[in-house]
Amino acid sequence: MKILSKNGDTIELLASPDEEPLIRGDYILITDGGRSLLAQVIDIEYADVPGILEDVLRELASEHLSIKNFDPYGVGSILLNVRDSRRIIAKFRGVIVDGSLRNDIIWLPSRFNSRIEKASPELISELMRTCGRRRIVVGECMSGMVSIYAEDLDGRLTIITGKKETGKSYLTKLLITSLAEYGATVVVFDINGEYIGLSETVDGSVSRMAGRHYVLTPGENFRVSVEDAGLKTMTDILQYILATPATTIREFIRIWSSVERNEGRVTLRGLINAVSRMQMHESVREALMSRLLSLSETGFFDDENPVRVEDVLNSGSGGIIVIDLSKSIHQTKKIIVEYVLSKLSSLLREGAIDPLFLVAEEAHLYLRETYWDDLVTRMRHIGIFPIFVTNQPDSIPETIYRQADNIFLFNFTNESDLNYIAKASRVDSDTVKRIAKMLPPRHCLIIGRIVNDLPVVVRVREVELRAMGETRLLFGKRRGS
Amino acid sequence: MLKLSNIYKHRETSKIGEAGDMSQLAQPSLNDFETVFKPFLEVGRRSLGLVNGAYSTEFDEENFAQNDWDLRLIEQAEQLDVSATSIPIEGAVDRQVVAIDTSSIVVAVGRDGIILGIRGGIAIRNMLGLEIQRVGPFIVYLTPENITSILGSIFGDLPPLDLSSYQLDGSIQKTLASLLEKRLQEYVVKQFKDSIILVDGSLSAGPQDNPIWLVSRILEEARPRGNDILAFSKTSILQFWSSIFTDDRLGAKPPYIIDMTWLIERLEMRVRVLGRTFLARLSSGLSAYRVDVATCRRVEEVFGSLLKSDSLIYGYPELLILAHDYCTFTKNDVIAIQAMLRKLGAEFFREDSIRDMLFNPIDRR
Repeated sequence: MKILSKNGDTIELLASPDEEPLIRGDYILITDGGRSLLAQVIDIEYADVPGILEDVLRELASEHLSIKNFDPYGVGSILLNVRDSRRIIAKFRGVIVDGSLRNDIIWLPSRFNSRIEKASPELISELMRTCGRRRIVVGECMSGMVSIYAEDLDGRLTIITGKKETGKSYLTKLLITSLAEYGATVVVFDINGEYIGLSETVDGSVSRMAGRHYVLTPGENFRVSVEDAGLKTMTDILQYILATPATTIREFIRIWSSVERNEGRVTLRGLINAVSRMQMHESVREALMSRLLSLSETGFFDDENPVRVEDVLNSGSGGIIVIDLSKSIHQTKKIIVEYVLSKLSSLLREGAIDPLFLVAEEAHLYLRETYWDDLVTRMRHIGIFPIFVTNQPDSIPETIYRQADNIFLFNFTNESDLNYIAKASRVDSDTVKRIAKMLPPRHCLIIGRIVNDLPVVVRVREVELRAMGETRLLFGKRRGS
Repeated sequence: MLKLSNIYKHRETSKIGEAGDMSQLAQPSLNDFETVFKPFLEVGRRSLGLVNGAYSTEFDEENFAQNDWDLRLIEQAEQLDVSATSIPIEGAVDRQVVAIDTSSIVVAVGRDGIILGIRGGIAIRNMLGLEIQRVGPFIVYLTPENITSILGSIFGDLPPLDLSSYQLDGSIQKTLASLLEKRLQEYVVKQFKDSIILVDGSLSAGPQDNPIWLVSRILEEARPRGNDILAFSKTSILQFWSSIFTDDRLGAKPPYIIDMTWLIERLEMRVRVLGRTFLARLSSGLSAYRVDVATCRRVEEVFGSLLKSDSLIYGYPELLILAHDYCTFTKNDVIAIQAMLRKLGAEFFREDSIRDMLFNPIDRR
């Protein structure tokens, strides 16, 4: 390999076709004297060889001819190498001086005297290492294992994205089980029932998560009291989810106070009774009654035997609490999420629970718009650290990408999806577009603090937990059909 | 721009088994170049060991040789009465056609001499289809000391060349390429029989690059094997006459030939044309070429077979174009040859870069 050019942060190298094959995401080390320049391969193209059009046209025209060569000096094989030479496009990641990676040094290695070689996985691991103690082995990179640290997810905003069936859920499970093993609490909004099987391994035996995995199914083992939800949460549900007019909300607040004062506690039944007997405009009565009956029909509210979220969260030293939204209808999902987020916020503010990770898969389906900014600003500060998982990158607001600390990016082929993700501020758009487009399944590009801002392509390791959430097929197993 | 109207295909697709096939199918294959060029390769390889520092040259397209004639003679010729001979295509015999061409290039200039690359192209069309044989590139480092041994090695151990007359001057590239081309022609006429052999240039003999004995020897080897040689010159001044000898003036329609041997015999002072010379207009339009012929059949019969057996592009045999295409050097060929020489220890500099290093940015030329 030889350096061809450097333009901005893009370095182009010429390589012979018989050199060691490179993969997008591989790191190369260009050493000259005591310094080394670290660059990451983002693409490989044919070199712009002089007269190549003429050569290719000649070859094309010769395809039907019988051509023999007497080539006494073997120039033909060299010529083949010249014509097939590669242009490697790489991104500048820094200069290694005295073992540390620095971006502030202006230095270029010699084009002709530099030694260019593939960087070792040990070096990359060393350079991407952050200050952590809780190691999570995520997979393989450049023939070596890659680890990240749980501390780099702590207090951070993380996004896991990629198109369908590329391995997002595998990685999510790997991360949350590792976090739970280190004693963290992880709340998962599970819309497809993908996380309910974490207590079992793929072969059906009990997994290591068995004692730390709780599945809360709304309407079954997860019912809450109206009083526990509180007036604020209930008015939010009425206003944002059930589209209740402002005048009706005002009437509801009056009724809430009246029930609380007269009956000593607020229940859904008490509210319904009050609405039916108190004096108010008939249209308001009708609007409130229909909405309270809707809430009652969700089965999520049970004033007699409610589950206390803080009891579940404090029942052990960390664990995965899966809120199974897969059986709930669209509106009920939103009501449950509204309740959970509101409850978690108040519990954290009161110091009743420890900070936790919140996994929100396809959050646009159940998260009201005003919550996005709330999640990445206010809620983060009180101790909710979101991990968004989505296959529709444009469903997450652009501002969230800009503030994301860590991104696990799986394959995307759609240009508009890639353009959207490329707005993430922690990496250049070329890297995102060129690498993500070609990632094979189960491979992801990790960007952000978690890798010390040194993007790495990782083949996510196998998780022995029961996957669940696979697509049910009409014709049985695909391979056998 | 290549116009379809300028591509003529008088030839028809024949089937194996028709008359004349067996002699074509029995043609030997071209596979013993290592033996034929053994002395030349040995001397060439030795010469490359002498290369150390060399300046790579700018790639330049091959220049075609021009005939150098007095224009006054053309004016005289204009007054003469000439007639065209029509080429009969109906009933013409389909024959094997073999075209030979060579190309050469200066790869680099060393301290003591020049590094030349030479490659031959042989295109064969017969009942079986089309075959291309590329021969080379041969690479030699020519210095004043080894020039005689290199040129001599082309023809084996006992070359009938007057080696003392060859010098390392501006014409040496053309001389070496021409001698190697003649050697290839000699080899081909010996290998094939009953074929039309197409060569590039003329059958003029005399200068150092076309010794009379050598051209004569090629023609002598061709005749007993039933081979007919047609030498097409792309850039002869004879072509100028095609604008004088128009179809109307001649009262003929292409394809036809005009015998110009009498004129050439009067005009060519320094060289001797072995064979007869024609101005051949084989397709409509202005394209006409000087064709020197040495045949053992009637000339119009040979041209008829050529038209039956090969396609024409602007009145020029397609097979000769193919032979040319497959021997010419591209920029990548030069890069590859230089890479090969580097493996042998040669070092290359770009002449321009030395100048830039010394004088730029002050000197902008």
